[in-house]
Amino acid sequence: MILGRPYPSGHVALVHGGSEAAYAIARMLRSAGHRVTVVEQGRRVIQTVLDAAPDLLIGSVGFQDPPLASVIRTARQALPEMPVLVVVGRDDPDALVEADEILREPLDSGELDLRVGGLLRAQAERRALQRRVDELLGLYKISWAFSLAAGPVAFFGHLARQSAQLLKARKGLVLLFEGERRQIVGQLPGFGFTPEQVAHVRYGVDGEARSRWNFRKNGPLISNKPASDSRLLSDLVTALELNSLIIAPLVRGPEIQGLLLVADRIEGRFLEEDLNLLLAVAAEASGAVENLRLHEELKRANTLLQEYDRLKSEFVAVVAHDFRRPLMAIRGFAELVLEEPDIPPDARQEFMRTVINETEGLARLAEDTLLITRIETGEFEHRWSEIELGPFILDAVPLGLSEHSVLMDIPAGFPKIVADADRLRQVLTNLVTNAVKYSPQGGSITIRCRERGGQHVVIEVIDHGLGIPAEQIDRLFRKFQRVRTEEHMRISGTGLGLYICRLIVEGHGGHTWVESEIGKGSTFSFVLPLDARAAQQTRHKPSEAERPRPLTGPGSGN
Amino acid sequence: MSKRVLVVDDHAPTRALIRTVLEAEKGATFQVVEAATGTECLKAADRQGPFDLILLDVNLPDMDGFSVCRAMRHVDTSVPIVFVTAKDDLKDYASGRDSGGDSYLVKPIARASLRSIVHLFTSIDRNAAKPELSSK
Repeated sequence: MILGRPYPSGHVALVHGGSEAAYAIARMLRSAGHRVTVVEQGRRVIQTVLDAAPDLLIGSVGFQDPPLASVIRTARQALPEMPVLVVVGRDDPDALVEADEILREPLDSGELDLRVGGLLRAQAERRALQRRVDELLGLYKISWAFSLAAGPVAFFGHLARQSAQLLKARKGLVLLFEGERRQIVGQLPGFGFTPEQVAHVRYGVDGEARSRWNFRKNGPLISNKPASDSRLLSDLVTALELNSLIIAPLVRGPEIQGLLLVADRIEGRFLEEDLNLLLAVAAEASGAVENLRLHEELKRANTLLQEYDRLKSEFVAVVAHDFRRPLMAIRGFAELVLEEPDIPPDARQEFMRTVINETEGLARLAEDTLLITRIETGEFEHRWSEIELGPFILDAVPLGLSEHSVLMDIPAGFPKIVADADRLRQVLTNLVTNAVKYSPQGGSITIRCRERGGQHVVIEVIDHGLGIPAEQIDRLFRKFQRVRTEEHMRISGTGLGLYICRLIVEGHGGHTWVESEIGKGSTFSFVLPLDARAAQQTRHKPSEAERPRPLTGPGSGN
Repeated sequence: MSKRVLVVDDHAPTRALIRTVLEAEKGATFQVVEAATGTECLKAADRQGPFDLILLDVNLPDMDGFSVCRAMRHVDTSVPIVFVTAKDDLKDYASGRDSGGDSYLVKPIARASLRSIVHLFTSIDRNAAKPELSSK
């Protein structure tokens, strides 16, 4: 409807008895630019009117077959918004029929034009109003859906369906920008798309495969023949079977959050006003999308915090247990020695040895726990020194403690490294002690050092012991995680040793890993920068490994 | 008459201590059998029983002491089972009671407490307390 002109043209059905007068009226209307359907008496009158679905009905009271009043009544039942103008004879009474306007013969062409124009304009305005009401209702339904949305899937489904239905289109989809990977990703379930099609919607915003349309710069997009539209990704257009489409960006401040796509199977489906409507939906939706994102992020952070909390209480429980356990033997044997004068000297000596051993274990546990706490809270400071690895390893490894033979494999003239000597000794001791502990059958243990790329040193501790099931390898370097096989369970351990190794190695700017085969043995490896002190200057913080990350917005890391 | 005590703990020095304390008792004779895991405990109860008392750790390498206790109760409802553990969470006490244990001691236990609890439980006349089991 074109509201700018004073008298819009329209389609008029003329129900007039006198044929001469009828044709005169028709001529006048046609010359004013209207389309006219002349309905003749007696021949499927009502059906003709209904088929024409005119913008305006003009009837004359002279029309008798069927009577004009019944024609109007019946037509209005099917077309309630259609205005009716009735032409009455010079001497006829006014109130014969139900009409919006009445004109009395003889007709003046200027007056007819004025009345018809006025009725048509009122009709156009009413239709525009109705459309606006429909739009508002649709928007209302959408915003209503936001508040009721139960999680992302329900929300994206609602938004896609309501947007499509509002534009009387068959397809709708929400696409979100994922900041971390810098990708646009289609959100399930979509409306009118298969899950496979939605899964197909995933493309980077940088690089070759990106869409040529920059929504931030160019705003929304309307395409009524997408297959040959160079602004679009043609493989996506094909995969999603898009034959006409509108895309409105979901915008929050300066950021593009995502896109709202409405499409149809028919080409040339969308008008400028559809775009305006979708923009209104997008504006409405962007707040909800933001809320949803924050909600999901909060949920994730909360889960992390709960996990952290659980780990912390678990740590406290395990530590409390591990501290109490040796105390039982220490206290008990000390009491025995103190209270029983008759204990023979060699038994007494054995008791005291147990007390000392258990005390040493307890001291080690205290040291380990303190070290972990200091590293984890960032309070630990390294004491760097130059180390000649060959002699250092020989000195660090607890030789002669077992029947295992320990071999050293280090090339002559190996460069000196810079590391924290006490901590590096701890890593080596832990790894070699483990190798001994978990090789109950004896055998050799090899410590191999190799330079890598002139910048790093790789140190491996190779044993031929029990080995580790593949599925347990990933959690080995975590706190309190031990290998859980029947054989490993027989051997006591706190589950802290490898975690400490990892903290120390990562504190040096290196990392740890393990390769193993059940029954054949394990190789625990770590890589260190040749100069950990220099490497530390270029890094910012020690291991963040077990800490929950703070809330980060999408793309804030870029 | 000697009393038979099964000591279940994966920590060897703890087992050694309990054995030493019990064997040093003058008024009574204790025969101590050791087990380092839940499986060993059930095996010992099956092959070396019956026992007059089971001292049971909770943190065992293969299964937790509560499960061991429940499994024991399927075969012997009357042997006193006393948990001796370093776990002191309230819910652990509850698990100990729910799994059919008779008492719950938190390590480290003073020698005097250990002695009195062992004497207390081994002096109970199981047959008198549970007459329905006394016919066999």
